[in-house]
Amino acid sequence: MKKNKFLFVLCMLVSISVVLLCSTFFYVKLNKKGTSDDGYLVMTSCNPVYLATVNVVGQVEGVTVQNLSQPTTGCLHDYTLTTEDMKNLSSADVLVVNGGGMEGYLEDVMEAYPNLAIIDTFEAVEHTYPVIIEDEEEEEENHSHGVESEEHHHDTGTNSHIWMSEEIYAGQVKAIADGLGALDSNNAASFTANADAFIDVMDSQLDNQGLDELLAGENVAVLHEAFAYTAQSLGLDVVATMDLDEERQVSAGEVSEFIESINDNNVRIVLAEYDYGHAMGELITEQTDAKVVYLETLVHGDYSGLDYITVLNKNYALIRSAL
Amino acid sequence: MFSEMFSYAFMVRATIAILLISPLFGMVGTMIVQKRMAYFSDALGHSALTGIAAGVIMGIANTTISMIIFGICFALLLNYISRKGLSSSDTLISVFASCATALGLAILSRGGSFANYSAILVGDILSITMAEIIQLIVLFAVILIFWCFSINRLTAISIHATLAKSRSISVRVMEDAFAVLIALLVMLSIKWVGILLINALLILPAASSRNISENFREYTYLSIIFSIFSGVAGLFVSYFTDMATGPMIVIIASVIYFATYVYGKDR
Repeated sequence: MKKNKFLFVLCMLVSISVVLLCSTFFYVKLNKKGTSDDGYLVMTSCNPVYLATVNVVGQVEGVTVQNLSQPTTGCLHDYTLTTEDMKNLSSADVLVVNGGGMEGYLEDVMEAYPNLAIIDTFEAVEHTYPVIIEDEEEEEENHSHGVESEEHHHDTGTNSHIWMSEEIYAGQVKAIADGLGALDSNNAASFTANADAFIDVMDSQLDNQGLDELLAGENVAVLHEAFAYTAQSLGLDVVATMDLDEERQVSAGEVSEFIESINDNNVRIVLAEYDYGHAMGELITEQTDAKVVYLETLVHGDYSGLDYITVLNKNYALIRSAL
Repeated sequence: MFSEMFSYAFMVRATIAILLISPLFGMVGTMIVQKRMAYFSDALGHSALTGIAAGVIMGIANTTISMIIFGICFALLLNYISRKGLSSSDTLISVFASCATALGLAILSRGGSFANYSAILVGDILSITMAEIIQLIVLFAVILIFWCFSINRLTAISIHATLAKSRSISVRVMEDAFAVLIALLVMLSIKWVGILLINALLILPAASSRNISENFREYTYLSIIFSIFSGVAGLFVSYFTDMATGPMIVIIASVIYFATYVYGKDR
């Protein structure tokens, strides 16, 4: 009996190992991605930074740009790295990040890979571009929520969704070109030329459909911090902000205050992200005269090439059609 | 395939961490299952949120310290109130766990900033550092020493507390010491395993082992083997399939549980 039991344990563990080995082997075989070990590997932390970097690198030979796995839901700041990300980072030469606390895992990466060069675009633009800083009271409150040494955009008091501002995004593009050029001086001129060319394309193709003149100085409310930059680009005045994501616990007092603010300030438009702002958007439509416009934040999905321009133009068109 | 895996420093560290944590879970889990304390360890895991919240309120930069202090106080308080016998222990633990979780959530979600702390729900073993591994080595040594000196007394208490008392075993001290030990293990490993899964890792290997064991020695050894096997296999599979490590370990531990359940039922 006893012998049978240990034989059973042995057979069970061996069987599980065989099943796991076989299924993992086939999974890996089916999902194998061609990664090149040669050349200069530039990793990026999120879609907006990836798009900027791809345009900066352009056709420069020997330089590959790869994005970390992207969260399919939620905001970037609570994303944890996957094993695939960790593998990619260990062979990367440089990591380009948005910064400003957006990448909550950045400290862990810096600890794990002390030799990995990091280009922090937020750091490069925060003093020369109009980065939005939350009001002092809110900032103080958020400071009291600091966790360990983890940096976070709520804790730093700044809104780090800077890519949503065309002007700041151009600054990020320049910062990436400068950063990459400093690390790879042979291609520095190409990076600068590509960055300038991309900024020119942005200037010529981004079309806010006259919204800046049409809405100048008008009050607006946002259900996602990222749209504070959309409002800034169009010259709108943000009178109420509620940053919604999948873990956001909204109190009744907060909702009533938000609705009150919309009514008191004659807000015509509320900018929101569909996934997390939809339920609140319905409530706002029911309780106020404001129209809720659902825009993209460029964080989720697969993007390439000039998609930054396409998405922003689509956002502007949606706002225009809501008027 | 495996040599490539160990060329990454993060995988080496994660493997060392798994090899340190999993035998502890297997070992301590046996006594938790034996003493029917599954609810107790689950409540302790959930109270980690309140520990963090307490640290945030008091301005403690390293919230692991506040988690440990809170966890120990929480465990001792639970033991104290359970001994009073005013209510059944599962009701008491449930009330305490719910209250602690709600308090933690209420404080941490103030101003909508719960997202800052959500990583602790699922844990992340891949980001463990060498300094944290040293913490785990110390924990490993402490638990092993405690285990070697106290296992007989704990077993006697778990079988019959009054009989243990008659043999001059201080039941109260041993129960409190064991509760503190669980609190230390849970709080120091929760960052790597996550609140949602930590109890599964504590309970499943021991429960699987209990399905087929005939004596306490067998029970302990098999539990440790199942725990190490689930941990290492889960880590390896998660590496190749790019899935989260904690859930993968729990899935493998669950498969072992069901297999031993079927075998044990027909014995």
